[in-house]
Amino acid sequence: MAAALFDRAAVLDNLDGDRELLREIASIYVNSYIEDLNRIAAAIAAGDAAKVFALTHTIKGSIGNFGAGEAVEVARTIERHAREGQLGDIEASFQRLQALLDQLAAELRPELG
Amino acid sequence: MKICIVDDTPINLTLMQALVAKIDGCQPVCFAESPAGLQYCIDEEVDLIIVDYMMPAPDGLEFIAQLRSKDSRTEVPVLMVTADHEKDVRYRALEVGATDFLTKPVDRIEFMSRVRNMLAIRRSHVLLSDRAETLAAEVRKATAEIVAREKEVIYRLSRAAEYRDPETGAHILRMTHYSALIARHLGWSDEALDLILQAAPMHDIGKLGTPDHILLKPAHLTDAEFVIMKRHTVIGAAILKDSTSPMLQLAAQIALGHHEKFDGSGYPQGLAGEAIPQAARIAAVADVFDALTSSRPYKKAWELDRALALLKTGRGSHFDPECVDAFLARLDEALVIRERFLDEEE
Repeated sequence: MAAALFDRAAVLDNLDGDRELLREIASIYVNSYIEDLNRIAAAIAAGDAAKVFALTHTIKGSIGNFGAGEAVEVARTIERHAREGQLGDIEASFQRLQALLDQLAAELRPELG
Repeated sequence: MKICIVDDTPINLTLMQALVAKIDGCQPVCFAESPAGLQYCIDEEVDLIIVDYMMPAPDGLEFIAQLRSKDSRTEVPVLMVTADHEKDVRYRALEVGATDFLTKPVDRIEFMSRVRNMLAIRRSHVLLSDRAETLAAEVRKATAEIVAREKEVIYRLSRAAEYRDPETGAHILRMTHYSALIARHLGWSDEALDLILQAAPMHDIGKLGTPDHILLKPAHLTDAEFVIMKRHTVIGAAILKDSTSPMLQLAAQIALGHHEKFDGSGYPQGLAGEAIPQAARIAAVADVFDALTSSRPYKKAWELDRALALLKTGRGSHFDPECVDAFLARLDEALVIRERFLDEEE
């Protein structure tokens, strides 16, 4: 098992202990991240580097709220490749991002209950 | 206070909305789409705007630039949300008018204290501009009251003179409007015309000091009586002189000088040419023309042609040629004035 991405104690502290708010943002993430990944995959397939950058930037901004240190780093790598127009180098990073976002979703699901 | 939050990332929007709602008296208004958020911030007076940097157009920089281009939106505080390392973006944001920044991901402690600081600034600003507006409104009101009071006092003074004067109120109005007509043709400014319209009605105010048996005599005056009659110019000037009001200063000039003649043969000072104030030279033409074309207890009104002939004859001797020419050039308008202010008895 990889190191935890969701830093529950720190996140909850940042939300002033507001479990309802945590549930709300976790739910937004769990319900939308696959769609977000699909849109990035489509942009990569279409060779649209600007779109890859914008979509990755947005998802990076979202997951940063949960800690998600390694996932944020991988997203940053994708952003950098996209900004330099190097979509060919992205595939490995993108697969890694998918795995990490799945893991983050798995860690967040108990919060929805 | 109303706080508008614009961010296309749902989690961040939800998070900031929840944090803002935790601040007492704050009402968050959220937009996931930048154009709708911008329109709202232009249409509505909000107290603080929190805007994300990276969004589909307009992005945060463009959002702030467009907002600040509105005169009414140069003061509202704007916080732009960026990642820490985006220094270039932050510099550009300051250039286009961002007030301060929020770092992504949102840190509650930083977020809350920056928002509170911005709202404190906003509150002071609103308080100050309310106070300035209240003061300005009071000054406007006080000034308007003074101006209105001045006009009223003058009107009542003129009315007092009218009661002593066998000439009618309509004469005063016609003579006043003829004077303004000539002055306008000679290039007087709107402000100056406003002054002469107020000042000319007092040209005969010195008749307050003329004894009844002379003022009301229904026949020609003897030489001795005429000497006393002439004094109404000096008495008028004595009533009106030495005021700080430009209008009363003008009125004093007209009262004193409206019987002077251009060749120096008039009274009371026997001034000639441009030594006579222009307002008095103007009033002389206006006053004589109306006297000639009005009926009096001792004479009928002259025909227009005869009155005009007298003005032309007196051009350069009795009257300032420029003033006669101006009056003749605007004769059509003068006749409209004559029709507008008819004597009631006629």
